Amino acid sequence: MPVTKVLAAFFADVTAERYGLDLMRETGLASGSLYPILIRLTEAGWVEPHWEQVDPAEAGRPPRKYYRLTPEGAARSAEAVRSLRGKRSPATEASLAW
Amino acid sequence: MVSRRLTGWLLRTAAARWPVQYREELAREWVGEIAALEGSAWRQLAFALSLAWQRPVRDKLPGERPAIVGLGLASVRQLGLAGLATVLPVSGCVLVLLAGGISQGILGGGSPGLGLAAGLLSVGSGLWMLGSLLGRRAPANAVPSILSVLWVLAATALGVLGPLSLVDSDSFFEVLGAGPRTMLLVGWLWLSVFGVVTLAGFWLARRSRWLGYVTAVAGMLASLHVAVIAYVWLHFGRDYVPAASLYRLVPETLLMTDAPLRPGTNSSFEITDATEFFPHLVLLAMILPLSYALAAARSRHRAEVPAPATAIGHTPEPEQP
Repeated sequence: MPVTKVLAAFFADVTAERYGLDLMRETGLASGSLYPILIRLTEAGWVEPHWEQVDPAEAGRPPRKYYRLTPEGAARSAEAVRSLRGKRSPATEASLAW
Repeated sequence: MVSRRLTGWLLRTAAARWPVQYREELAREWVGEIAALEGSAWRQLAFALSLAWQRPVRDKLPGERPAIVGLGLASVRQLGLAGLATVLPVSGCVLVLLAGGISQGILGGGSPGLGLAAGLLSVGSGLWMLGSLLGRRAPANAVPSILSVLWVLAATALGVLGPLSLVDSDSFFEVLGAGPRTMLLVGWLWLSVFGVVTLAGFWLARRSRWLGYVTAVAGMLASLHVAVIAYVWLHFGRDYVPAASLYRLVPETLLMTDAPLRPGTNSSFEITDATEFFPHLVLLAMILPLSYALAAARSRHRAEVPAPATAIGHTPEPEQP
């Protein structure tokens, strides 16, 4: 399940900050699948995004957006991943869905 | 340069499919990732194409039908509709003419008008209902959209190839002698009138259903007359001008009563396979797109969905125990 893949990628290092291409590479998901998941996780409060503090003129590129697991997200998503890997429970589906 | 522009367009298309408050943030984020893929145009394109292809996540109003608004699904849907808009009128036209032939046979060489009228009514009603059904499920931007372009192409093919493929051998060369330019002229004349009528009906139907319907149906009949009169005049030339008034050409040709096309100033003017086929084809080709456009205009109101309350980039406040 794509959500599980994304959460598993975050779990690989719960303190790491991940960006879109990085997650795409690790999960094998296409951008069109990944970003809706990131938005849903953000809306659920499981991950929090923040913008890279970089001067575009100096760096010669636009800033990137990074995501990291919130403490609440780490706790709840661990449960969810276990549950999703075992048996998909309606409660988890509902909490992950919009 | 081309791939850069295409990538930009795909990203704008993808962003536009999200609720308003998401767009700027998403576009900014995607531009950042695209910049990281600098040097690999294909990967940039694949990244943008996947985003544009994906159905967006959006809230729905209670009772709202799910809208297919992703670029990929929408394109597949539009191609399918263009195919239907092309194939169904042709096969429906054959059915109508068969009904006329059967009616003529049953009536022992009498007028085929009854069978043609019944065939037109049943096939036309079926096409209208199908177009309405599909139109009610249409995305908000269904008309005008790529669909309009596809329909124009499909209708041009019908207008040009329909008569050419069905005339007898002599007339075929006569038509070719007149040149494809003539047929293109007829096809585009009809399409111009019909396109204006469809769009007018679409916009008016958003304000008043009946105003849109009356405009569209009246316009459909007007464009049919324009097409048939232009076709007859350009096909048969000045030497074969029918004696009857031009306004009678369409109804009497549709029902094959022969009256307006009987010997006029020149007795050699006759109804050919092409003149039988062409008005039926034009009429049936217009019904499905028109009913689709009118139904899509009405569905537009349902498609205006309020955006979610929370915005991306703002972590919701933690719940209080």
